[in-house]
Amino acid sequence: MPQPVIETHKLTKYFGDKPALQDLSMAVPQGSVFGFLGRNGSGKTTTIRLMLGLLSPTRGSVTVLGHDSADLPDDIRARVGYMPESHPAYGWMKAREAGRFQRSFYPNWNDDLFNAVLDHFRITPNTKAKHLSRGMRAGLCLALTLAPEPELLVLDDPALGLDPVARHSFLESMVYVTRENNCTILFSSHLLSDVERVADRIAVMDHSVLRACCSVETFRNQVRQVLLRFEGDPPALTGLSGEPGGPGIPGVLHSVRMGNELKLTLVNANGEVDEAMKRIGATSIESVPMGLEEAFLAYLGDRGERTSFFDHVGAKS
Amino acid sequence: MRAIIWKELRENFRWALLGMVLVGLAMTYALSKAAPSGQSLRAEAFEMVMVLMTSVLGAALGFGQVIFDSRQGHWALLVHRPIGRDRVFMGKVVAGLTLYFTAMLLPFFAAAIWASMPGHVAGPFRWGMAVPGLMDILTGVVYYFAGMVTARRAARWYASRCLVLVAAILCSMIVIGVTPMWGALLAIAVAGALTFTVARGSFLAAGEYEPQRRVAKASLGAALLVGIVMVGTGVIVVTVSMFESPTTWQYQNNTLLRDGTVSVVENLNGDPIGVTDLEGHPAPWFTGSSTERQKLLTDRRARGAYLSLHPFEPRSHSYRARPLVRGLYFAGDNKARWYYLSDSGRVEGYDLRTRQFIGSFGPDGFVKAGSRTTDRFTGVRPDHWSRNRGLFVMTSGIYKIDAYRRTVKTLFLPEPGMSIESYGAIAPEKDQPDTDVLVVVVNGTIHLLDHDGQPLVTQTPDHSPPAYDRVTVSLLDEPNRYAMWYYPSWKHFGAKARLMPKPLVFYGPDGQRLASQDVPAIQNKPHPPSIAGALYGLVIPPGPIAGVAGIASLTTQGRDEFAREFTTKRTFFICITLCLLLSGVVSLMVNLRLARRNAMARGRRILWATLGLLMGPSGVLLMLCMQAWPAKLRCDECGVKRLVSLFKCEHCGVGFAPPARDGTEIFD
Repeated sequence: MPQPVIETHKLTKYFGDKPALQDLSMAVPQGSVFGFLGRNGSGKTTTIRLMLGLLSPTRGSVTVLGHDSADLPDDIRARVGYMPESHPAYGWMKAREAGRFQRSFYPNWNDDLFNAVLDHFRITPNTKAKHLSRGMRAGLCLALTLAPEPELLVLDDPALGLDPVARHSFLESMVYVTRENNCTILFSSHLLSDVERVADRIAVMDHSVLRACCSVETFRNQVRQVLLRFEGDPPALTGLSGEPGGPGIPGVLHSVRMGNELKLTLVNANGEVDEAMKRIGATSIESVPMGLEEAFLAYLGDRGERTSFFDHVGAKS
Repeated sequence: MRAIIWKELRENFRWALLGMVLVGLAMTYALSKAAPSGQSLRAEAFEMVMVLMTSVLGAALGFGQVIFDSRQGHWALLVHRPIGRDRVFMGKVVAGLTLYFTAMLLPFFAAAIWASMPGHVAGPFRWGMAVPGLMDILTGVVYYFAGMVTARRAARWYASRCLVLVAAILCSMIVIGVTPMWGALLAIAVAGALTFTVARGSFLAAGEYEPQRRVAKASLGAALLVGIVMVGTGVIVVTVSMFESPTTWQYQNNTLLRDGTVSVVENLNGDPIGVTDLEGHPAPWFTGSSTERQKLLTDRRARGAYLSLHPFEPRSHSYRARPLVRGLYFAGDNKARWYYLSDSGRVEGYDLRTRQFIGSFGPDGFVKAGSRTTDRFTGVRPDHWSRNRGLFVMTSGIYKIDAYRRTVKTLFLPEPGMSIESYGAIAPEKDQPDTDVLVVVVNGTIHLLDHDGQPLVTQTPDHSPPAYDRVTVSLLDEPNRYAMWYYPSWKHFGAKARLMPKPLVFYGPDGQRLASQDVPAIQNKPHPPSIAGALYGLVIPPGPIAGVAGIASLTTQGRDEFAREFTTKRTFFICITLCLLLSGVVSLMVNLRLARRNAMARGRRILWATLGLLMGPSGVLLMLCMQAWPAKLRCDECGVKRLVSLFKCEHCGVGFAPPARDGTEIFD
């Protein structure tokens, strides 16, 4: 595995009495495109801010390019590009002025790249940031983040609020830069299709805890959906909410009852799981194919057992 | 840093411009009210505008510069760049103060130039008048940094963010009230350095407390403590006054009657309620209603003037009240306003309608505008000497100025080489305006002059400084005599002066000594302090009180005074001392407990405990609103609540268990 550019060690952050991040230990390898996934409030933005020293941790530590993020030296900060969520920009600045302002801080400023990204997003340099559309403002932010040619690019929900076309442009630019400069990218997102397209590794946060950190392939392979058929009503399973007794199947995320069928979403399924499924009396076991988005939704969706919506409708009618 | 300065200037220019317009409007309004009566930069309304606008604009600019950049995305946009937060902060400060000084100084100098132009203000102008305004503008820098802290500091109690602004108000009070100008500059420098350190510390640590350096923490503590003590004092005064019963103020004093007898007057809340002679026999004439009795006493009281026997020493004026230009009031002239100008030594007049210079008086007469008198008034003009309308009293002589007829008459001049050391005036008899008597001390000799300056009598005092330093010179009737009543010097005798008899000497119209008597001192019982007042001891800081008492006890006078006070107010003193001790000890224990519960290091525990003991409840409040208070969770091992900020439990030493796994985690 390549040398990590970001490493967190038992990173924890509390806001008052509320934990925003608990015991996060992970590493972002050099040259990777690292997708940081999770639902709203799961701790993604807090983690990114801690990584860049914009917040101080309650306990634990982060190193970025080998330096403690609590006190990043200027030369290290110059090697890290950061695009905060919601694409902040000084509204009164024209695109050209924003570039000139940013350029004065970075020794490796690439004017051609800046102008190329502006062109790509069809931004007129004389337009004030406050008059740009959301997609154009994201483009301006991206131009300002890419032009210093950083080694590490940290993007906090960069596609937030963008329409599909703007999102596509944005991802294109991002991929272009990564491939050209061997840059490491860490980006958080809700949009699984985007992650699937560009990321090679992902980390999944859930309720301030890291639940997964692996390659995209591994994640896709480890989350499975199976359809079990029974002769009568399916049995109740343990390990799911409200089901204290009955047989158990390890790694079940949730199950849906549909008449004499039971649809299970499983993770880390192995031979033991297959044995357990046979033990509970299923007459047939059928795998249901899943994409990353489905796998992710299943992984982070509400856990427990549900009855099919159609069964409810049927019962009422 | 230049880019940051440019960005800040560009971003905040419109706010500064708005501030400048508002300041200009406020100054214009104040000047338009003050100018017709001959005032400009020293007018009360103008000074009020300066104090208010400098504080508001300073605080608003500091606050605005930081609050807009404190939103999460913008904060990252601002500080995530390779120049360090310190330089970003300095860039902000340079730009902010440039805008602040521009917004304040431009309208201020415009106002000063307008006031200095003839025909605008019915009074003289000196650039020295601008000094108080400039001091106020400098004080605004303290508000600027306090505004930055208010915007950036993450506070446990939101209202406590404003405490640094309260500390800035104390700086304003010192700048307004302090006597020498260097004192005001020192106050601004100290408060400015303190608030700068606090603002910088808060900015570098993104408002959090723990990452700040020690000097920033100490400065923050000092600024917050000042704010807490100021707010606390206000709350205490209001609260205790609600519990205190209305006060009655009863006391006795001696008074000399026209017939030369000394009476003892009993007063209740300032009104005379009884008159006796020195043996305690009631005065038969003191009868009737309260108003009638007061009138009877006034009619029988001898006319007198109270003056110092010490040679006049120029008072150290507050730099704000330096007598550059002093307004005078001359009866009978309501079309012009007159001023004494110490630098030119002349009395200048201005027409109230045209606001133009009329002319000036010197000792040799009046000269119209365009030329000057050959002579100038020399010496010093003590303010408290010139109470008589139309009289112009200097240490070099006494003059009567008739502004209406434009004439000057010299009433009294001391011998060459001498100067008037003290001056007083005995008021005229009712309806007899020419019966006033001027009392002048020259070279230790008392001269009594009639209202035309003709000498009535010259008397060498029987008692003189340093033992006796004040005297009341009175006129007595039937037969006509003078009386001089001497007062022992506090400076010389200390607290004993209060208990010493006061010699009263009578002289004939020719100055011959007739008789004398020692009037025994009256020992009034001090007003008993309310026991509710002792409750102050529960909330005021015990440390500074002990410090002040300790310093006072170093001098004999301080010890005597304390012994006397303690004898007369024993219960109060015991109560307040117990309250102070109680509050100090309780605060120490509270702070110690809080420090222990939050597993603070030994040094920090001792510091907070000491602050609790010295500062009382203010020390507890300071700790609560300054410290960071991490959350607590119940320890899985020992069951006691433990801090989330420590890796190991402070009670049992066991680390946090990693988040529970349920078999659904995916790691490769």
